[in-house]
Amino acid sequence: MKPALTLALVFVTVIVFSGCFSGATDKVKMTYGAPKAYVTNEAIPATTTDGPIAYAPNIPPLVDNDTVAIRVDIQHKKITVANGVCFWAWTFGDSIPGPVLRVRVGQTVKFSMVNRSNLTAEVSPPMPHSIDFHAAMVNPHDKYRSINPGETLHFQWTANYAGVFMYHCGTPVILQHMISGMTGMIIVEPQDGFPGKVDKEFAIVQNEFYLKPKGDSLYETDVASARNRQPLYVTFNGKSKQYVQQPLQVKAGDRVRLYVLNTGANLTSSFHVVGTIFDKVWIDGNPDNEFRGMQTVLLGSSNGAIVEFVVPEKGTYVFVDHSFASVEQGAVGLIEAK
Amino acid sequence: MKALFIIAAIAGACLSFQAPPLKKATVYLFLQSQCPCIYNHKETFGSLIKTYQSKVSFTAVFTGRKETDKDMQQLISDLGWRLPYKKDKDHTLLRQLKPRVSTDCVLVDAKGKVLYVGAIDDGPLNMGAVKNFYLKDALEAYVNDRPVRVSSAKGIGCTLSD
Repeated sequence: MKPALTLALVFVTVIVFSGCFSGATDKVKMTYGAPKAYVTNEAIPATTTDGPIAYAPNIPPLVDNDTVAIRVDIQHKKITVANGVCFWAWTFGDSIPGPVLRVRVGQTVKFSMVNRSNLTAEVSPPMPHSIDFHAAMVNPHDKYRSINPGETLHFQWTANYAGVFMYHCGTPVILQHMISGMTGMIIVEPQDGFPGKVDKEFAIVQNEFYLKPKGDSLYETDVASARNRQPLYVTFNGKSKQYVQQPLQVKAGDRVRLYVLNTGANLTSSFHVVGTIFDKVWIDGNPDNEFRGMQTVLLGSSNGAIVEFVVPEKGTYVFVDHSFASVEQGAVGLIEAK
Repeated sequence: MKALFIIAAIAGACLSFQAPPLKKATVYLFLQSQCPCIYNHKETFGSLIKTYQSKVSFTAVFTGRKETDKDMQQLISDLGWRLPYKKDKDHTLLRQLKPRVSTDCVLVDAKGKVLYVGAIDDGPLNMGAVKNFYLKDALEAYVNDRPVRVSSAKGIGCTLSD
């Protein structure tokens, strides 16, 4: 065989095999850094969010542009955690967890955020807040700066990695900001979308509430119990046992995809669905990190995952944090298959 | 009995000749019991109290009209400081000293002149890494009879509300 032909064959072989073994991430052109963030003092908008957002378990549509504008404001708001238990929370948007955001790899997010805490000064002290996107690769000192009540923060970042990521307030004392409700999920899709088709998809965010009674049904955050890792409630999407009362609806035979995130602030989650097996698990939501046939996925604080399973037959399937103290504290829900 | 009178008279004379205690400079630390920002300065401010309390008085000031003694005492206890506090419900000190947010400090000299207003340090603005020890520098200048070079600095804290 001629040397030139041999070299050509070796070259082709290398290209073919590297294509087989490289993941979606390897094909992505990474974008590092972004223009400097800036702060403005403008009139506070009427609504607390703008752009493609949804509240879990719903997932927002993907905007198919190179850039996407998203605004998520911060407010101090009374939130109900369980029947007869509410507290003055600090929230992204209107709920705990904050809204689910969805972008794709390569897309530039033009993000803005108003600190609206000055609007509720009578009941909750206005204070600085910030946002830390685990999905971004930027200078945190610049983009994740704290802004004062009434100010608006603007910055942009480009999504490099697919996954299910956390965002949270990073203003000290971070533990108090997180247990007050300032966490949420952002889904980053691969450039060509997540592989495979599913019939139903839901977002599930697990978090802990550290509260102590203040009077009647009003509670307040309890930093001491947070430091001792002793939550009063552990919930899926911010309300104790809400999907026991209102199960997620699917059909027998459906392929279901769950975007799962444990926002902590402290504990791990052993996420499990009774009656089925996860035939695909993408750790941190990245299809390059695939496991098959898993019973439970272990999520540390701030870890995410995408789990897929087939609903084998009609029935009611229970999803839990299989660390069972968490079930007693509220981390249990139902999936009803008709 | 006569001897006792003599001793008492001498003691009284000695006391009357003692100079009245010199008025100290004061650091006012503005706080809100529901605002967690002061925990960023738990160690640093506690250290300043220990270092300078022989030459400077330290007082916490709560401006919130709904503050209760229980809440104020609880916060100071949680911080682990021995620190007297004042309620400033009519906002006399707030108007006079013009702090912006909770955790702001005001250093006032013995004659009532404001030497420094603002942040304890810039740690909260630098993700915990302190680059400028504003209050410590001001205290150090004061006790060494030097001018305070930085007389104000922006702090991170809760708005001092009505």
